[in-house]
Amino acid sequence: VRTITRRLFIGGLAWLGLTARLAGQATGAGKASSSPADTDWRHYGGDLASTRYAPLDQINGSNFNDLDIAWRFKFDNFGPQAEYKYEATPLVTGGILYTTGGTRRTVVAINAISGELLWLYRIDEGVRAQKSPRRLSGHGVSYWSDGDIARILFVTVGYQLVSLDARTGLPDPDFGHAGIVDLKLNDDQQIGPDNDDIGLHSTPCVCRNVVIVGAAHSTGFQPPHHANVKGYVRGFDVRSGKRLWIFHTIPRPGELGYDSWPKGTETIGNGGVWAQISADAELGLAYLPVELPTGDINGEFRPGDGLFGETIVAVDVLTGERRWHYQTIHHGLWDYDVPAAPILVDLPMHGGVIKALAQPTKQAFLYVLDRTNGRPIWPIVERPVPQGDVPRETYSRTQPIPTRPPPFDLQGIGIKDLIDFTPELRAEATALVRNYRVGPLYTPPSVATADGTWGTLLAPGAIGGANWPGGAYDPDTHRLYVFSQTNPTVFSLFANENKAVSDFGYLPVETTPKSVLVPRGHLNPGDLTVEGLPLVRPPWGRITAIDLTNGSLAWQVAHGETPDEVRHHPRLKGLTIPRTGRTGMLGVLVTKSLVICGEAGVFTAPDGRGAMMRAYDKDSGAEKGAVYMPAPQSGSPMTYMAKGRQYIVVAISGGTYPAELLAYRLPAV
Amino acid sequence: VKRWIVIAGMGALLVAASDGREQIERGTALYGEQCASCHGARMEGQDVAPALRSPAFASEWHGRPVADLTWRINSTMPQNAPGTLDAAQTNAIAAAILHANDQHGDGAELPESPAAQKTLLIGQ
Repeated sequence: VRTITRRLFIGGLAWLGLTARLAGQATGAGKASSSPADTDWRHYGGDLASTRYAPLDQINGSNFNDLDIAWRFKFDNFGPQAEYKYEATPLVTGGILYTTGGTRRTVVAINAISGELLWLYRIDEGVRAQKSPRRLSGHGVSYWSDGDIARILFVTVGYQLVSLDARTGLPDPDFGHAGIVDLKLNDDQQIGPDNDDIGLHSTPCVCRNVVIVGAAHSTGFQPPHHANVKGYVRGFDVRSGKRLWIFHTIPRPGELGYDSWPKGTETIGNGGVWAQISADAELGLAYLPVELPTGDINGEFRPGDGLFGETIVAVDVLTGERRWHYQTIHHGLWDYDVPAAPILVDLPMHGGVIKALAQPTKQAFLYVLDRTNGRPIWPIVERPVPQGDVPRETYSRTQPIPTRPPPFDLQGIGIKDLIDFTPELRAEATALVRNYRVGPLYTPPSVATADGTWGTLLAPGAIGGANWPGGAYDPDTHRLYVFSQTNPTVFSLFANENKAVSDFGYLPVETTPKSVLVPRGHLNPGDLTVEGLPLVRPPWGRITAIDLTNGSLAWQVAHGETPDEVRHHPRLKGLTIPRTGRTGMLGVLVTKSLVICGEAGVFTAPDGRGAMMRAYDKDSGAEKGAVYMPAPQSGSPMTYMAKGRQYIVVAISGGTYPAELLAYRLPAV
Repeated sequence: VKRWIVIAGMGALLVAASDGREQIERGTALYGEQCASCHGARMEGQDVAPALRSPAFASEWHGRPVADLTWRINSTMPQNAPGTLDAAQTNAIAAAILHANDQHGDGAELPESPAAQKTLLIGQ
């Protein structure tokens, strides 16, 4: 087999002349750049525990402002259109950086010191990709090696798992069919090759020679039908691509959790794991953050608690068997999902070490559980929550509320939370809010009417709080860092008069010819600004440091420069406004001394329109430096050492600025 | 040839006669069909697609020419079929987005020509 493989490999190289040349360079560059001081970043989240931590200190608070661009890598031509929402975190190993990029989700290997392209892999999947619910370049790739061979694994736009030789970029002929496993097959359900609603943008989790792959679907705010594809999770052998196991995130009859579905699970769909999966190789457990079943803010087709909706499930890496689960929200109605990788943390407690897991969420709670058994580290208590009145909806009487740590962002909305730069602005904000139902966290969505309220206004909004970038964790100090936004949204429903649009009785969109929502004076339904300013008080974006030894908040800073339109707002003339932070979804990086995070939006900076990448002292939160980026951070920063120098690489894009990787390092001395 | 000139002339008259409100309404309907499933019914954004309402919209587009916005919509959206919206549809959607952000009244349509759109700065 080995001989044939090699012959195929050489034949492939000869046939793909260009690839062969690039491959030669890849090998050379890999050898040249390797040195003992080099460090890797081998997983999307830095490690399988998703800590986004690297104990590097060459770049520190005293020199952060001196950072220079080492190289840039642009993806404009990696696909038929440019990409403007580039979310990857690259990997680095052996002096080579691997990532996806561009609207074709091309995989590239790049010299980590120079930024030179070494090889690329692209696959044109035609209609299959065009119809995918997760287009664009996704979150990157995964790496696996047994010391002899090395593989780059990723999921295509069209939901195929591909294994590439890390040296050459050529598909591994021993894996699946010619290097590809069709993820629409062998999934314990019928999935059509082109049109069915399944894809994935996160990176596979590779642990103990098993590749674990989740699933994503179209956003479920207005599902055309409740009987969507189910988002099961599977494990595959990393060498052969053979399916080893499947975990039914929506339990089948007879399986644990099925009795949490009074009307059964035969037709309901979704329940995917679209966020990053973490794993503990020693315990042999993978931690699956499961999203909602079909209907993001309407549960009419899924009465009951609905396991494993919005649940963290620990499964055996080798068999897929469930070991424990913890449901964060029963019968969720807010699209909160479980949006990010659980972060695995070892905490000094009671004279020993507790193997724990910390889960950042959109609802701004950090759930801290014992990762061996799923039990809360600090009590999480079932508390009564507001009940709703949407016809055909059912409500959970209680929700689990963590007692520690405190929420890291605004939960619920009251008058005290509204913008208060001036008394007049507060009065206008108060008048606006009167058009909505407001209340504490878990106030349910409501029906919008012409003569009543326009729905439920709630913080966190449907996009968090925290979201897919998740958090970072420092194993030395046991502090967890997370970015979150204060960005309430309206959860409103309308009777659906058009079953061609959806089989749901109530939808967040109007399907009647004439809208029931008409402006009231100068107030427009859904407009949550006051004179163009955000409705709620700043900070609109913040980074929180959470001490996991005692479950307290250590510090919190507004993250993101005050937007131009706020700085120059005529109603704020003469006022001193502290930095407001800004909304967005951002990943943070923690190093030996710094917390590093780019901004989510642009402003008029001294160097021109752009955003800053900022560094904070990780102990105090004091800002230690900031460097210019021509566009907002859209991926999450990562770092590595190569040939004695530390690099920070971040994906940026947005507005009219297409996808780009920026690599920073200190000037040569 | 003459007939085409006449028809083109009538077309121009129609454009001149139609007001901004019609364009915004067309754009709002198109938004519902083409954009809402990802960007949200009220342009509030979702996990996979940014909000098209302020503050997020202003943060990204304040000070930029309308031409940048229409170009971005036309060249990249809708994500499963970029380039399929014609200029009139693109302009209508842009008008609806700008209107939702209090950046565009309903007195007149957005100008069709990219050159004219380049001189219109969002938020100013």
